[in-house]
Amino acid sequence: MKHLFLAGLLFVFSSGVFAKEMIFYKYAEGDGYSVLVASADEAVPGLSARDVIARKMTAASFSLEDVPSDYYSVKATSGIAFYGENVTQYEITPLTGDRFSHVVWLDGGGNLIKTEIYDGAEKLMFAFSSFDFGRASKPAPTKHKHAESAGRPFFKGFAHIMTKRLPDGVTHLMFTDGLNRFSVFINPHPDDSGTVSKIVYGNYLMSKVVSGVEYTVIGSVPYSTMEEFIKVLNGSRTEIGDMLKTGALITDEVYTKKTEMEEILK
Amino acid sequence: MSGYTKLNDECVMFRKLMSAYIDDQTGEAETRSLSDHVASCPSCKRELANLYVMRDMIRSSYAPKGEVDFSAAVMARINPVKRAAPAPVKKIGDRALRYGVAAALLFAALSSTVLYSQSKTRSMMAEKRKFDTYMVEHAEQYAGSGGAVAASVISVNFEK
Repeated sequence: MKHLFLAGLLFVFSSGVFAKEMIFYKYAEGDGYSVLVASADEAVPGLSARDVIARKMTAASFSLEDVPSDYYSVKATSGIAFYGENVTQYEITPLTGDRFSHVVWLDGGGNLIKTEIYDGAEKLMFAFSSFDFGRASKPAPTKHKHAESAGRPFFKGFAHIMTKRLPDGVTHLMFTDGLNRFSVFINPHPDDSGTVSKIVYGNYLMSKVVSGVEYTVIGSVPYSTMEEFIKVLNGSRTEIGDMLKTGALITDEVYTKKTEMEEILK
Repeated sequence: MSGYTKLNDECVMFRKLMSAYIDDQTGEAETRSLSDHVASCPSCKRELANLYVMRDMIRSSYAPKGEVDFSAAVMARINPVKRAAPAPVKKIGDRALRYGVAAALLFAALSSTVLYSQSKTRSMMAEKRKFDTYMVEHAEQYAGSGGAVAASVISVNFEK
């Protein structure tokens, strides 16, 4: 029975799967990992939400130009042979421990072959690799950009790139430094869940109620950065609320406005 | 044999718009040109259908499920409690009274433990649903309008 299963598996892989572009994901979840192998051909119905999230997380493309030199060092190792491709590996390490490090493999055409994301303790959080085993030539990568361009950074090189109001009164803000990203969900009507910190789908998650408002941060930054960010956000909530009401992106101008406000109130 | 089809530039361009399209975030001109393209391209039509399926699947996965047992309330309305006539008072001994009080206290303690446990489970489930919803939202915005890859072939879970 076991041999029959292995023969079947071998048949599946040899008959078609490896002739397509293959995608491999591995991401930390709680104390363990989840692994997903998928074909990049056509979507099939019946995917779990977990699979959809994994694919969404890998849909954002990488560009070395977006990595800010103020916050990261980049070490390039070229000449790595991989299935006949000349691959260059980039180790992108944060200068301080307040964000995650990345290892990226690009082929000669700039196509993304592999990405690995590690937290501050060098624990693998997310791995993604893609390779077309049956390709003759692969189309040039399309560089993804968010519809709303990043403005001036708001916090430690992280710029606010998106605001979205969710139906239940929660506000979703997204921030990026060009490499790592995180989302903040602001819920003005929290329940009594208290402080939560855990790993979900290769991301850190921290949820905390401060001054009657629940802040939930999800992304590729450590808990200490999340905690600090919540403190900054809550400390300037009036000014930030005013900026968001006008549809503006939050920038470091918040600090100036806050100082001005404090002067007025003195 | 493989079924692998290389997309032309037009298909690549329209597939990037699809995610925004199903969220009603495309402009009038984009919507019109995407509709025209999908009408004449079976592959993109199938891709768009799959995206709708995925969206509905995510919504249904995270839709709140009924947690409250309404049957008790319904039954209470159907069978209203009848007021019982006061029972004749019987004298009971001290020992029997002590046993009765102890049993009542034990019952109350067990009931409150079960109720607390049920409410804790419900609260944990609600919290998980909330964080899962946030995670999907984070992933959606992370991906933006890019990348429509996929098809799950193998999905396994294992501990470290």
